[in-house]
Amino acid sequence: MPALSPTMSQGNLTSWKVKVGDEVAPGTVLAEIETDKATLEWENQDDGFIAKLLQEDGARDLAVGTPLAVLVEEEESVSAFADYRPSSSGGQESQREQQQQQDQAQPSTTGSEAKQEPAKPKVQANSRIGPAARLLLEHSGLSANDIDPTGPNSIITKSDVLKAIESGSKPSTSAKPQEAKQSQPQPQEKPQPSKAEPAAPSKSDDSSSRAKSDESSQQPQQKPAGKQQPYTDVPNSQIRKIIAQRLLDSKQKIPHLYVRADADIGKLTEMRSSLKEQGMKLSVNDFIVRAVALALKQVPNANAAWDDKAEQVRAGASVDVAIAVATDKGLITPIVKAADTKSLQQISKEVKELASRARANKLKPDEFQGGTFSISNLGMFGVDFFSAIINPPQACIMAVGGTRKRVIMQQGALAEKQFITVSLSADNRVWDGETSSAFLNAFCSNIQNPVKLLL
Amino acid sequence: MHGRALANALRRATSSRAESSAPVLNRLWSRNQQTQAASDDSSLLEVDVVPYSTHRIDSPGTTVNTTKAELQQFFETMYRMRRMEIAADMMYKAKYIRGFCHLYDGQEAVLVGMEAALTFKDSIITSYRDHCTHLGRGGSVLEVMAELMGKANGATKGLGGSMHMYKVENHFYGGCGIVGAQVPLGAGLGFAHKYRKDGSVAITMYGDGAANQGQIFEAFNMAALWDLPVLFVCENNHYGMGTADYRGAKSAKYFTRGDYMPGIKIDGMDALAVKNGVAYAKEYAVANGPIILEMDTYRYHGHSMSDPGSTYRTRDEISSMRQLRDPIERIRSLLLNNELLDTAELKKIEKAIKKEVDSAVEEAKAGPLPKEEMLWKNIYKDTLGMHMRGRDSKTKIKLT
Repeated sequence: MPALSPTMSQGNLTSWKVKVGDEVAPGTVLAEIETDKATLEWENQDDGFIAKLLQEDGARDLAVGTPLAVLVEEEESVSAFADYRPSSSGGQESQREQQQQQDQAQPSTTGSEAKQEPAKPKVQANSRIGPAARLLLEHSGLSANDIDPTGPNSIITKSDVLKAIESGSKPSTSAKPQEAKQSQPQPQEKPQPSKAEPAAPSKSDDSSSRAKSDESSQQPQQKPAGKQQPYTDVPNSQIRKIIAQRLLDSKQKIPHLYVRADADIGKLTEMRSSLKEQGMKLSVNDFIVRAVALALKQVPNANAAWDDKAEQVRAGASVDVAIAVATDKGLITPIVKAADTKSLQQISKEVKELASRARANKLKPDEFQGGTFSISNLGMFGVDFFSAIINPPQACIMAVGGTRKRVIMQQGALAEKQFITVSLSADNRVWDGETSSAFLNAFCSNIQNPVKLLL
Repeated sequence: MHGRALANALRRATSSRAESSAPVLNRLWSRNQQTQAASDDSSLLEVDVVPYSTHRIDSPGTTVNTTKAELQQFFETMYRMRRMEIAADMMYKAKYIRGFCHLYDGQEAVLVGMEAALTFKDSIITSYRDHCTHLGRGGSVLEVMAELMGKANGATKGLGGSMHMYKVENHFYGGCGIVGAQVPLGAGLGFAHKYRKDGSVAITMYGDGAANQGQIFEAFNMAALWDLPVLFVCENNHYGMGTADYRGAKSAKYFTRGDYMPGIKIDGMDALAVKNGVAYAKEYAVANGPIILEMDTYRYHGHSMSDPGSTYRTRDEISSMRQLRDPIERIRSLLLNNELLDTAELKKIEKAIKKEVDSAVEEAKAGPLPKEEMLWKNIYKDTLGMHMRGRDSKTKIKLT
């Protein structure tokens, strides 16, 4: 790994630009390396052939001096390196190879040094142990002798005990600490469940060990209750990081106002099926988008956003409605611009097209940034009702649930109706109670009389 | 690239010619040269070089005499310089060399041709791109590499670093870090030669980046006024750090910038053209006074090791320079086409030089660091037993 900037101590190999067998000349770009400052191209200085690439694309945090590739002078030598591993010594053909042996000598010596450390004489731990460390010791069943103290004056610290627990070190079998544990099981274990100990994944272990020590006070139980359950870390992609950040911002900073209504979609379902017979397939979502757009036009106060910089309401210029689309990378909200001017068919086509492009990651920035209103529909997943989090800088998001059949009283008789529940989460700085109820009324009247949507 | 840049790039990619003629595309140096096959070391080879552009002076002849021995020496020296700079690049990237490091690869022909026309009695002073100048003035690769790594067996005992290499016994006055500061100093060296009447010249080298500085014109004036035997050599590698020459100078014809002073523009990638031009200029300068020589050359690396060198010029430009105008390749083809050496012999020479450079690098890595007292040696004539404060107030060092 070359130091491409004077302050660089480690780098990431973003991508290789050559492959095994390629002929390289001075000036050929070998790879893109991400330094502490920027991503730079790594140029070759020697004539030769690439015999082996020792690191993969995307390898991170490689220290300066780590061998990255093998360069040989003759093309015939390339095959000799097919199974080359950095620790073993292959055929020494080129000077570069010798230099890499130099670099390899360094990591191998540090490796052997690390192995020597356990052979160092054990430091006698100080008898002073802090209360947190002591608690952990008893809880885990380890004794002070098992742990390497790293605190000042050889004191065992809490992190030392945690490290010992994590590495799964077996407790020593000396009788003295066992008695110590035995003698104070009850008073100690009571406060334990209330503490949020990372080494206490199972309260049941506490109770079981307590039960056991109750049963057999003669034979002390040495159950290392602090054993960690295996887990896997799922690295966060850039998109997910940003989504997480924005959601947190939104929830923390925007005063959410939740308003909910049920809408009778009987007439809408009829209209849908009659249109389907005539060959036009529209989804409930298309109707909802149009209903929302018209409602926003009818209640102009609702089509606004909160301008964070000016700290005031900013009216939206046109009715741009965003649809939440789930992609495998995360949730994205492409916008249907000027939705009030578009017919149901146009909306349906546009939503389909935007959704497919969103899943293929081909949206342009202005197609998903902006807008004043979002619609999130989880109805197809069997959700009845949910509340969504506002997508800043928009002022409102409508969460639509699935269709439910319900029986209501109508003119003294039982009638079966189909309802959907819509839940608005609105920015209370922009929408007050009056606006939100006006909007909901307009929306429900639009949805319940879908003929209005055709206007 | 826009029109003017494209035209300039084409002009550079082909060769330096008389300013009025159109650029010749795809010119291979071997085609233009009429040569006689020479089989032994000393028999003369006649090589044609590109015509020179001149200002207020007659052009030197364009037929250069050379021998197999000379061409081989050119090849070896330039290859050694190239490998040394490559090794410096790798050592810098491995953090054995720190601080500034300005590399000269691509420009080797300028020095090699110059040294062929000069003696060690002539003085040279140059800028911070001086690793190869030290080599040309009789230094060794070990001295340069050790100096770069700051070791005590370096050219200036590890105290100077990349930019301050000296060899006073061969009249090499460094290595100067301040851009353009060396030009008036070089005029002074010429004054000394004239004063001593020793028949030698002073060569003061600067780059296109420095060429617009005021003190250079003051130096021109005084040198011309007193007819000093000075060769003002402008190494025009076309980029002052990152600024193209035509973007920084109203007139990028640096050989004419002396106005009243004659000037010659030489193809700096052709060692023979350089040798011929410098010999001609030296003769002129000793007899008449100062002259400007503009070397049309190119550096493959960036300005320094902190500069990737690809943000202000395209990689295509660099690789086309490597293919069409590389100085080492030029000499190699001369040797091969005239059957003076064959590929196997050349490879042997290359291997030997690679080994030499590698062992010098290893030796330099193993070299000792300068002793602590070098921090204050050569600063006081008489230290008077003073104490110097060390890194903190508790440390006091007695100066010796």
